[in-house]
Amino acid sequence: MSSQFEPYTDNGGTVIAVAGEDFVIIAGDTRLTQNSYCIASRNVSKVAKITDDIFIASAGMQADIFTLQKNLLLHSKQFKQDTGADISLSAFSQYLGNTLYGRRFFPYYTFNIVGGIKPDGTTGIFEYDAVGNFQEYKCSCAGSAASLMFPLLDSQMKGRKTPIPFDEALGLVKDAITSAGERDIHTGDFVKIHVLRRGQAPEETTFELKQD
Amino acid sequence: MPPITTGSSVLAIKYADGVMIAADTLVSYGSLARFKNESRLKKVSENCILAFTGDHSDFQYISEMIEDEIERDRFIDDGVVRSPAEIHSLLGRIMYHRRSKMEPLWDTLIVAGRDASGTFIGNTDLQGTVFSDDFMATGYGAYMALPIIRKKWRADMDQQAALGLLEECLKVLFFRDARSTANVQLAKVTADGVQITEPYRIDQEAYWEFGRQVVGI
Repeated sequence: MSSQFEPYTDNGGTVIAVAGEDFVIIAGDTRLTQNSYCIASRNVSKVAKITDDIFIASAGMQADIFTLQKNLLLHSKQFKQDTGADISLSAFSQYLGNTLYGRRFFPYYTFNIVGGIKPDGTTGIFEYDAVGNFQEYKCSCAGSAASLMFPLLDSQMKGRKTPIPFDEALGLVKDAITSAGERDIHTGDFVKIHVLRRGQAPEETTFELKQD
Repeated sequence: MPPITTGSSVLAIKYADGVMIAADTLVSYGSLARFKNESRLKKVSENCILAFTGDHSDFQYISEMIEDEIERDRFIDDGVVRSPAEIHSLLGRIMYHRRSKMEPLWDTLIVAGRDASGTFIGNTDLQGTVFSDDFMATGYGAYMALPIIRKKWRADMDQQAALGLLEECLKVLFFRDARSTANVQLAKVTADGVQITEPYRIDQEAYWEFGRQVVGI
């Protein structure tokens, strides 16, 4: 009895995004896990830049993540070539949903969060399932520690009357991922945090998590 | 489609002069040590080496395909040589494509080399996973050798230190990987190009000295 080829695997890791009034913070850890317990690399990013105003963060199977992000980037470049303008957040978010559903019967094993600045300057975060259902939120997370981070995000973000200030949002993102790194074995090593602001170039910082 | 003839671990590290790769010379047939002097490190261009864990025939197919690509580059005759990162990228797409057809090339591949922009070690596997790093190990090496490498690796290791680290890892793998042998091969890619050693043995009488003290079993 020989083993059947399994086209899917989970490479672990977690991503998170929080939107304020004029900024979006989107972050993901950089650990790549294989076969549940092996750390293949401590330094593989899950977050990709689509335009200066749109970033995508993905958790799940790295092969599908890499392919999906590569295809989305290609599409965005082609869009710019064809129209002269950067693709808008709403168009991109819809395109991703359609792309994912196009593989409804052999899905991209990816759990995506898109964060960005809209043409009118407002911010948005879109959360997806593997087959393209998506919805807009003010904050979201996905990946192996999502169930650990959602309660923390809910406690800080739900019922807010005013948008979250930047320093508080950054603290929330760091606390959430750090806590995830404590308890989830697949989350750890480093975090790449990207800050998008209206009218500015995106900033990237790295901070360390525990390597255990 | 299970793998038939298989290779075990491959190790690769960056060091001061370039990259160094190591693997034993065993290709197994299940539990049979079938081909004991088979090179699992392949030079594909003047600046790049390909190595595999997994099915040997799939690797032969892949090597031939990559060599053909490099050869086709030569016909264009513009002096441009495909970089290791580009070869890695191409392989990653091929591997992902095959997995998406449910006809995988049952290997984990290491692409290692150096070009004008620096050193490169990349990994891609039968599921299309793609990544690169300063050091890498595949197969059992990922479980047994990588922790040792992570502890001892430094970016500026010289040739001797790098060789020592890889040989220590090969020793551990020989001791504990049931599909390994003590006949190993090393390769390096430096400013002087690709050099692959002849196979040599890493087991020494000294390892087994303790056996003389074992009584009774």
